[in-house]
Amino acid sequence: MTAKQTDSPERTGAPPRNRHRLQRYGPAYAMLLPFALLFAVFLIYPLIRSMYYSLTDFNAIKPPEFVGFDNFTELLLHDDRFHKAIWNTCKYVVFSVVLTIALGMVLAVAFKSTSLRDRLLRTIFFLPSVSAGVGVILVWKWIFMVDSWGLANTVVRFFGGDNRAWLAEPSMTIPILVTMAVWGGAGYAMVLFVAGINAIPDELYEQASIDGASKRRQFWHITLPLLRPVLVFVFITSTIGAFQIFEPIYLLWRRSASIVGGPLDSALTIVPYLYDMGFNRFQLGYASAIAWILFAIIFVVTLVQLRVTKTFKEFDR
Amino acid sequence: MKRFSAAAAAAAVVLAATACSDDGGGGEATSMEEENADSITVWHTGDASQQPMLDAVGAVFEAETGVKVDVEIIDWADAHTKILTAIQSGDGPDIFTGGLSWGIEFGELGGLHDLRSYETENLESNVIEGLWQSIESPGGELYGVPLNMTTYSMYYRSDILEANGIAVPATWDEMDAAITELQGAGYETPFVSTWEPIGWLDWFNYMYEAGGSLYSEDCTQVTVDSPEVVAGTEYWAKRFSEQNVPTDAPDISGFANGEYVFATGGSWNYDGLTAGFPEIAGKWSSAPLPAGPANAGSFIGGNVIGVMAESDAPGTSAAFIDMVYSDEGVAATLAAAEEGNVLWLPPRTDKVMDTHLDDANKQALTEIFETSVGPPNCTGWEPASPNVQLALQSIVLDGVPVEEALATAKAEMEATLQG
Repeated sequence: MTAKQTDSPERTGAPPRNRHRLQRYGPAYAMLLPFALLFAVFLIYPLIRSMYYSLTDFNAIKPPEFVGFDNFTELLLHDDRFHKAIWNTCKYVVFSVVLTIALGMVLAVAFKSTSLRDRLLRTIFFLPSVSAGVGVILVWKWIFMVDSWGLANTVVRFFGGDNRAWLAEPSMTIPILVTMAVWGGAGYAMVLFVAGINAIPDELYEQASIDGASKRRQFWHITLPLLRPVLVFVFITSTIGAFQIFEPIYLLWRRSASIVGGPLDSALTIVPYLYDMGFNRFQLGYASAIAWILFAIIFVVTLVQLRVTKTFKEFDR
Repeated sequence: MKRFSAAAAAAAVVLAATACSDDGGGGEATSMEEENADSITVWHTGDASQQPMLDAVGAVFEAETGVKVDVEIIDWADAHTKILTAIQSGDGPDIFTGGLSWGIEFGELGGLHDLRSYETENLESNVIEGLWQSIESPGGELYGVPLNMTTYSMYYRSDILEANGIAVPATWDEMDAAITELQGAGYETPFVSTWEPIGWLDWFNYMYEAGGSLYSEDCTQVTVDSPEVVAGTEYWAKRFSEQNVPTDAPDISGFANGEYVFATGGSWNYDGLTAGFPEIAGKWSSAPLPAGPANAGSFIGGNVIGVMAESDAPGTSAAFIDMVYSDEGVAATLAAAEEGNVLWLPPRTDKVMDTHLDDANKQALTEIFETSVGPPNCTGWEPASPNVQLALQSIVLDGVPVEEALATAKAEMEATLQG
């Protein structure tokens, strides 16, 4: 009775149910608060601000001038460089994601065991994923130097060819970027695939073997379907990362303050174009619009991927 | 100290008489005495090897005025954004240094003071002639002046030329003949450009040497389709299509090991060759770029130095910039450069002979500066230049006819031109 009197709404100023919830969840909310504040200040607020800027003409100095959807209209209908950036991005995403996953899968199947050899090789293949990004890119830059001592040219000359200006040839830019991405990402995909493969019960393979299924059939009908969650994860994260490619392009082809897209813009993708507009030309409103279009593209692609996966899952059932 | 006090006093009188008229850059023009600052801050765009030079001139300034100069180095890659952010936030240094074109660019955004609002002794008379078109805004404001200079030089292997009986080419025709002869002697790639070979910077040299220009003098017309520009562009493109000049910038080490006989490039190569390849000392030298049918000349760039609009001590900052141009300032800078074995080309061409280069290279640089020209100050060039570069690249990489590519470049430039 006494306790009941203590809990009475009149004395606490709050209904007992709310007070109970506050006691229970209060510390959790208190601990979440610093993160929530940082999240709001450094993510939510900039997002809202960016959305606002995308509807303005803003050069970072003078006050933004509201222009409605002009930036989006210009980008989508009239801006040839942006269209080229999208086309280059799509080529890069398709080739880099597909080849990274394919190579990662091949490596995982080949080196999935716990033997010393496989563990050693997995470590070697995984090393590029944990190497310092900028350092690795500079090594690639050295490989493709135009000089006769550049590694690529050394190999070409060994086979009797002439020096090539690899980084100055428009037809080579996307292949070079894809090569770098596959080299750097296949090991990471391999590790995830190995984890997924090792989680598949051995009984399934034993049963399939007894039934006379070949290794190839086991792969297509057991490994691949059961790896689908991992595959989807790798596919989505690789795709998002590929759409956001920036550092290699910036480091390989930025020759002066105002040029970022490589020869004839052949390496210009969406994020470098965003950077070019925002930080070389101060068109921050325009750059914000590019950012939101990139967000929309990634959002739609991810939704499609998830939808397709779900369809396959339902089909399997 | 006396000279600066007198200058400050004179400035104060002038400013009082004009009631501290607006300087057009944002903020009011005040004198050093009114400000009574203890220190000023400089953000210098460059690398750490250049800090001693600015510290040296800062020490001279402090000795004369009692105002301490704090120098912070910021990297080229971040500098543009960082300074822009500082302008936007109003929380930056008193003085910035950066790309040559940034003075007009930031000034017209309201981020810098017009140095002409301040009493200075050494600036106007000492700025290199070819740079006025790059630093004076179309409206006549002077938002920044060169802090140091960078230019295109032609480096050549004197030992190889001598061995083949070839004189240092001084004209396009002589260069063509030298390249042909060297290729006949087994040099596969006698000539390279180490500074953006298929960029607009490299092309600018040939365009200018052929007598062309980007805009009319009053910045009202785009002139990149003139016969002179066409001729310069055709010659520039011929380098790649007929003379095996690489389209990507090679490392200067190829020049050092004798793979390339001529290398055009920035003045930083003087340091690179001297310090990096002592084994070829005495086997190389430099000269102005070969003259075209109309002009000798080459692109000149460098750092610009200006006073931030939000500075609390703009008068003091302007006095510091004036000090950079003074005899004492230049002497202190060059002494620090020599001590660190770093080439620092001062903004005063009459002081190039005081640098620590050998006599032949000093003579070459002096000749180069006499005919160098900077980028145009016409509003719209900065945003147009990347698209112009793409048009130029289409000639070399896609085989687009010169006239067609220049018409594209002209259209891009006209779209951004504000006369």
